[in-house]
Amino acid sequence: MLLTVAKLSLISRKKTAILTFLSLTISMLVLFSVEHIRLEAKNSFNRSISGTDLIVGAPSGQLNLLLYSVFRLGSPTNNIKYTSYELLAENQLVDWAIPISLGDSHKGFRVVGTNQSYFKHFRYGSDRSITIETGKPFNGLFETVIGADVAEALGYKVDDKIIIAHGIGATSFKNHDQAPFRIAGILTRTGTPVDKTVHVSLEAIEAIHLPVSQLLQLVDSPDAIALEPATITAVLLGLNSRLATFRLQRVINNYPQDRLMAVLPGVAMTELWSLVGTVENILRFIAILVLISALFGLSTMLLASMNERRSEIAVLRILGAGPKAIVMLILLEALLLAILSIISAITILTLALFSLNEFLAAEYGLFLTWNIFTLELLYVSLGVIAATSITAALPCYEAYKSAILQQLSNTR
Amino acid sequence: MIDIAIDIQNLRYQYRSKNKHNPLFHIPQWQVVAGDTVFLHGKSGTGKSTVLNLLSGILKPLGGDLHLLGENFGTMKGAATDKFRAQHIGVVFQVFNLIPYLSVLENIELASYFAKHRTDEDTVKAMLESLALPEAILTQPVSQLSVGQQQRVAIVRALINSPEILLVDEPTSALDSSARDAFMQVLMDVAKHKNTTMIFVSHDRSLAKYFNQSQDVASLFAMEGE
Repeated sequence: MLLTVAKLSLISRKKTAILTFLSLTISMLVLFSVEHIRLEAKNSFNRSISGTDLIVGAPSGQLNLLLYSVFRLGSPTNNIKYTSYELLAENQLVDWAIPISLGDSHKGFRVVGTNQSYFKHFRYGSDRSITIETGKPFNGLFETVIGADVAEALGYKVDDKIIIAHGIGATSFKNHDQAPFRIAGILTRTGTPVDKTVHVSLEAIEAIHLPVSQLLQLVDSPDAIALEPATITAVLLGLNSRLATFRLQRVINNYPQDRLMAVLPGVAMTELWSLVGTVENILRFIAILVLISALFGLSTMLLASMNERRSEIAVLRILGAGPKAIVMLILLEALLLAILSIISAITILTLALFSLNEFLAAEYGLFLTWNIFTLELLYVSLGVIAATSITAALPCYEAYKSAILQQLSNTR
Repeated sequence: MIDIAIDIQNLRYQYRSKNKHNPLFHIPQWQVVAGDTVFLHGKSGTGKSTVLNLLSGILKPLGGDLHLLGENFGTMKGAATDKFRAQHIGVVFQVFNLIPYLSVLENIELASYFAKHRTDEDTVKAMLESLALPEAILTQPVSQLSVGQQQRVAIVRALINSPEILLVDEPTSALDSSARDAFMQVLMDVAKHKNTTMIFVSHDRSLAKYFNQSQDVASLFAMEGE
């Protein structure tokens, strides 16, 4: 019964109630989004690479190297010599070495030139290797293996022919369209940047940068020209013993024949996360401020209504409602608004994530699940409800006081 | 033996305020027999509202005895007072008896809710009929009713829990004379039918004819506080 009264009382104050509800909903939307993105970002972040002990590239910042070699973000500043890769691969401390050659794209997805060791040794998540969902690893010169997102976004199947463009935009003036690539395989979804990558051989990268006449020669007979890559972008190294990591890092950084830099992915990841983490804390702080201001709005709305409710409270008192029942009524109104706002915020967020999932993954490399129901969310919601009860205390006290002081004579 | 519905002995009350000296209200003795209808008249400021506030438990006496229906109402604690009021006392005000955003039925149900009774729809309908109100009114929001209709709904609401005591405070001041006469007639009929003890407060002496007792409010009080 009290719930009905609280509900109808809110409805009777439609305009202020709706505005309060909207400001509460928006603030909770901000709060929940920040929380969700924080958790998800950390997850999808940490699972992007695993098992790699060193990343070797041209000297720049370690963040930059991590971003382009692992996250396929940004542009490589410089290349390293292919011979450096060969030397590293043969080093006795090195268990495996994955060469990575960047700089081309297919319809907005990055193309990575690499070799078979990528499929054999690359690890993500908790030491999981990448597997091929359908088809086989590339074998011939004009063959490619694509990530799950690429296949899904562009609707590709095995044996489809695709064109690779120079540069990394979605449209390019220089398409290598004389040399279509056959899709040899499609990878199983990993939830990492691998999903958005088109993999070809290192030789293929060289081939598509040859003059057209030579390229056409290659299309006719793949063995016509010997393809030896001169440069690559980066090398991912797995070592025989982790203890050797620092020793090898120092050797690489001081290597006289090529300008090289080796970084530890863990360290670079931590640095990247601490950058993001500051932003995340600021966001969280702003979200809480927004919520507090919305709660004050709620409190103001209830307080402002107290004057016109004096006679209403007199009626309830005369019907036998105790001061506690009056306070309960005000509290119910506040909680009703808060709970409605929480539900709406969760619904809106879920729907938004559900529909923006692809976009966020493709454009920003954010792999957000639309399932936001975590323990964290429960805690945050409970916290909001508790905060609502606290901010409703003032109007409740007003109601209590006016319930106590209420006399028949005041109704005139 | 005759039941005494209201029994006041030596009741004292004084409004508290910081600055001015408030008069002391002192009622040496007053008794109302169950089933009586009492008309209390007097000008404003003579203590009519104080009497109603004391009888409904909104104000608590500073001293003396206030027994309602044989129970010591004057010394009851807050929650007990509220419960007693919900179950045994009906009140009709001058204006604003109903919660405007609730429907007529919800207003009536609210009274049952606080008295912890169930609302019997048949009783409600019978009462509406005896007060010449259409049944369709139940689902209407109170804000759509005329003042006369609102006052009659207030009677239904006040009597829905069959209270032994009905307190009525200037219910007709917002009504024109024909509406007032009709209102008084149904009020008296319903009260008589339910054998309710009624205390009716008004400054309009012409209403005295409806009641079997008529008394000046001032005559209740001893003069010492003046």
